[in-house]
Formats: sequence, C-alpha cells, structure tokens
Amino acid sequence: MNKANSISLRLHKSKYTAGQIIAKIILYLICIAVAVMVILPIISLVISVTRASEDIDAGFKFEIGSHFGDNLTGLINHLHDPDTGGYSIARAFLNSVIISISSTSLCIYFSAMTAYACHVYDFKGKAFFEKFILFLIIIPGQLGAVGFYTMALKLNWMDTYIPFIFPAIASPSTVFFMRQYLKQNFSREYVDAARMDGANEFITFNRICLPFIKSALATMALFGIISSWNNFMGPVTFLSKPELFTLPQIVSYMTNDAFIETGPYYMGILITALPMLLIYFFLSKVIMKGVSAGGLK
Amino acid sequence: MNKIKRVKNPNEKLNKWAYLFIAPFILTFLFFSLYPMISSIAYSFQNENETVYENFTTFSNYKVIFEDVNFWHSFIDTFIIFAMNFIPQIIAALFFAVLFTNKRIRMKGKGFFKFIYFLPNILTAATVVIIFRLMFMRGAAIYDDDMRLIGYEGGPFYNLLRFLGMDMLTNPLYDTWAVRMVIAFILFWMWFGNSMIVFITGINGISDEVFEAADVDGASPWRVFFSITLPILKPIMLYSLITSIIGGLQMFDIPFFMRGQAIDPSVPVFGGTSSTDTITIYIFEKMKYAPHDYGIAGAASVVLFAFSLSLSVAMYFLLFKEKNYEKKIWRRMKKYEQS
Repeated sequence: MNKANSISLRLHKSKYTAGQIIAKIILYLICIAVAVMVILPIISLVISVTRASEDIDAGFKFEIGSHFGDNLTGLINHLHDPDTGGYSIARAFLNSVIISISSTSLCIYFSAMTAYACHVYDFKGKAFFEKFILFLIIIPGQLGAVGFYTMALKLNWMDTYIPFIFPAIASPSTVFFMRQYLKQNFSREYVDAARMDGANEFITFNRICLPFIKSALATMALFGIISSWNNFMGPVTFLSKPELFTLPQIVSYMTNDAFIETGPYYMGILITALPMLLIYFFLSKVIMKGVSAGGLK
Repeated sequence: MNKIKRVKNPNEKLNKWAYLFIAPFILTFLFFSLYPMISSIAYSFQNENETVYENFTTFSNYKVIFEDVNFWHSFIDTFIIFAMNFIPQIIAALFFAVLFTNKRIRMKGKGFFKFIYFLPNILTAATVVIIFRLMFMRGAAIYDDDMRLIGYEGGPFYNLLRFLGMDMLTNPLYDTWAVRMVIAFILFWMWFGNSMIVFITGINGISDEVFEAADVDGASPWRVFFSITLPILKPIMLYSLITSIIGGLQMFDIPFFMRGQAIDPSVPVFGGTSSTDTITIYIFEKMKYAPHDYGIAGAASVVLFAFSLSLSVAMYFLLFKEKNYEKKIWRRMKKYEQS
C-alpha cells in the first residue's frame, strides 16, 4: 500500500496525467503477475517438500507441512535400500560436483590459453584457426554422438568420467568469449613488459594474463558449472553403475521408480535444483552479464 | 644473451610458442570431436549392429530413416512445439525489454523483475519437468451432491485451467495436445528471461541520439518501436529464432522426462509413438539400446547436422545483409526530413 502511494506521489510531482498513472499501475500489475507465474512452480516445490506424501498426492495446497525431515530421511532410506537399487543421494551430489568442477577448470584454463595464443602471437594459420573456431560453434554436438559412443566402448570408457571431463578442453564458444574479452581489455604491452623482465611465456600467461581476465574466467566458469550440472544426456549414455550416477540421473531413476513416495521424490528434485538456485541467488548479475555479452545459449 | 636476441627480432622467435598454447585445444578437438564426427558419418554408410556388419551400404540407412514415420513425426512435432513456444516467448521478451529500457516510463524494481524472469533458465531441465508435473497434476476427484464427477483437485496450474473453464475432466499430462502445450509452456517459462536479457542488451546498444532525434521529430512511442527498436533488434531475433529451432531439434531431457513411466507410455508426445521423441532421442535410442543400429543413428545425426548447418548458414547470410541497420535508419530519417 505504502509503495503504491509513494509511486503515485512521485508521479504527481513529475506532472503525469491520470491516464499515465493508470497505465503505469497496469504495467506494474503485469510485471508482478508474470513474476508470480515464474516463481510459483519453484515455491510449489519448496512447499510440497514439507508436506506428507499422501497430502501431496491428494492435490496441491498452499500449506506448509511438518514433514521436511521425514521426506529427507525417506529419500535417503529409499535410495539406500539394496532391493530398490542401492543408490546414494550424497554420493550423486559429490559425483555431480566432481564432474562440474574438473571439467569446468579444464575448460576455462585451456580456453583462456587458446584465446591468449590468438591474441598475443602472430602465427601461421592464425586467421584460419580463428574462423574455424567460429565455425565449430554452430556445429551441433549430436553429429559426433555415435562415433564418440563407439569410441568410448572400444577404449573402455564406459562407467568412467573421462567422456565428460576431457572433451571440455576444446570448447569453441568459451574460446570465442575469451578472445573477445582479451581484445577489449588486455593490451599486448603487458606481455612485452613481462618479457622485458625476463619472464618465460608460460609464466607470462599464468601470472600476468590469467589474473587480468579473472572476471571473464569467473563468468565462463559459472556457465560451465551450470551446463555441466544440468547435463543429463552424457551421464545417461555413459554411466550405468549406481555409485557413479549424477543428480539428474537420480531424478531419472526416481521418476521410473514406482515405489518411491511423492514427498521423498520431491525432496530429491529440490536437492538437485538447490545448488543452482544458490549460485543464481548470489551471482545472478555475473550470469546475466555473461548472457548479454556473448548472446550465449 | 637472450635479451639481445629478443630486442633484435622480438616477436618472430616467440611466435612459435603459440603452437604449444593451442596444442591442447587442437589435440582434444581432433581426438574427441573430429574423429567421432568422421566415424559417425562413416557409420551412416555402413550396416552395423550386434548381428550384422556390412561395409559400405551406400544410402540404405538414409532410406530407412526417411521411410520411418517416427523420424518425420519427431521433426514435425519439434516444429509444432517450437511455434507454440517461440512466438509468445519473443512477444513477452520484447515487451519487457522495451518496458525496462524505456526512459520515459522509468520502471522501478527492474533489477528485481529481471532477476525473477531469468531464474528458470539455470534450473536443471530434469527437475523443471517434474516441477511442472506437480503444477499440472490432477489429484483427487471432486463430486457434486448427486455424486457426479465434476472435476479434480490438482496442481496450481491445473486449478487455474479449471478456473478458466478448460480441462475439467481430461488430465493434461495424458492428452497429446495438452502435453505439447505443457512442453511449450515449460520452454517459454525457461527461455523468455534469457531472450529478454539479450534484447535489453540490443536496445541499450542503440545510441540515445537516434531516440532523441525521433523524439524531436514528434514520433509516437509506437512509431519509435516499429521503426527503430524492432528493425534494430531484427538480427538478434533472427539469431534466437535459428538457435531455438536447432535447440529444439537437439532437445533431450525435457521430452525424455515428460514421458517417464508415471505418464501413460502410449501417449505420443514427440512422434507417432512414445518410442520416438526428438531426433536426438531417436539417435540415442538407436545407438544405446539393442540391437545398436549405429548405422541408422549415424544417418539420423548426419541429417540433423545437415539441417542445422543449412539453417545456420542461412542465418549468417541474412545477418550479414542486416548489418549496420542503425546507419540505414539514420539515412531514412534524413530522407524523411528532407521530403
């Protein structure tokens, strides 16, 4: 109420007509309605997690229940039960963390290195290499799916994390983003100065360039972690041992499990979504900046 | 000694380091991307699975997939769902982008709304589908005084549909068109914030002078929108159009979870039967499950690749034409002033 008053007061001050004030109120109402539509599904999930399974099955209600702890222990016990699979949500969480962190670190380090080479050196084939990276961005990954799968079979990579971690070294879109960032922010003079001081080329890259492009590295690290955390097709293709499963796979397993109760099921969903929600809550500005800088999808 | 050499010809000698720096990228690319791509293409010309191995069968795999009804259904369904989500998505994104950048309206709380609208984009698709099952869920039956079925309890969005007089008795999670609507809505929900952020960047990139000049000339807000904002955003819109189509063809998790066992498996969502969803799921199932038809999966991925690549190339040429739109608008305004 107060807020609405202050808005209309300010409007009066700036000599808006009554029609404009009404238009503005309507615009705010639209914004709020859409915001409710966007946030409602997430709030519904959080509410459902606190309710007993029978209550959720009966129909959704905006009632916070007292079954949060029951649902959590229910989930852990159900997954642990050797008769129904012998999974562990904590292990899956750890697996997701291991894959995201390791693939993302490789991705940003080597992408920065590749972009640095294009920025600092004039080597033969540079123009071709840069165009080629652009071309690689538009190639859909599915083209190599069959070949990669059979290669992994032959090299015994099934049920290992190799197929998720090492391909991240060659990420054309990350290289492209870093290259743009270096072009705008990193002058070659820094490199020359470091060389004058007798620094080796690797040391120049590690000690001069990397600290300088920290914000670009952070942005790309966020995108890497988000996409790796959310990756489902990769794990479902290459992993079949329960102890290696990632969180989205646990979600898939629970979805196909006729015996799991609804409350623990939604708890599993929340645990999968929560880290991304937390990252977004603290770093939304960095993420949005990255989206607007790269037009990344 | 080193120092003297460097001063003599500082760059030439050090440029060799570049190859060392790009080596990890190139080696990884050759091993993890290029080789699999070539072998996929090779598979598409072979008839290989667990029982048969026939080298070089020319186009028989392509013939199989082009004659497969499910393959075409997955293509068509992708486009239906694309159309259902993309048009509202672009309209909503444009609306909010213009609203949040307009200097006359000066909305308060822009940051908050942007924060909320972009949020779904970072969620795991798998969890999103389950959340929406909860939202559209049909719960316990409701009877009137004569014990006639009049409806069901349900999730918030199900209740909203019921409130709007739709879907009294059918379960939206079991009906083909309703499932398509649900998927389109999920995609809308996940992506309109992203498009909005991209559009806001596009509008902020337009120099203020253009808007001021239009203001001086007395152009109405609608005229400004249709003659300046929209044309300048055209390349960005084209970009999101193409990436959305390609993204739709590659979609895996949303259709995969949408047809889990909790949903009637006989319901066709993407494709003629539930055994086929998007083309990516088609490829996945052919290669992962017995009898492992690598040839057919390879052929399907080559078709997907050719289609996506031609779209991207078309986009490249269209965008190339549209470059420097701001200059064009300046010229047009000057002409308008002269006449």
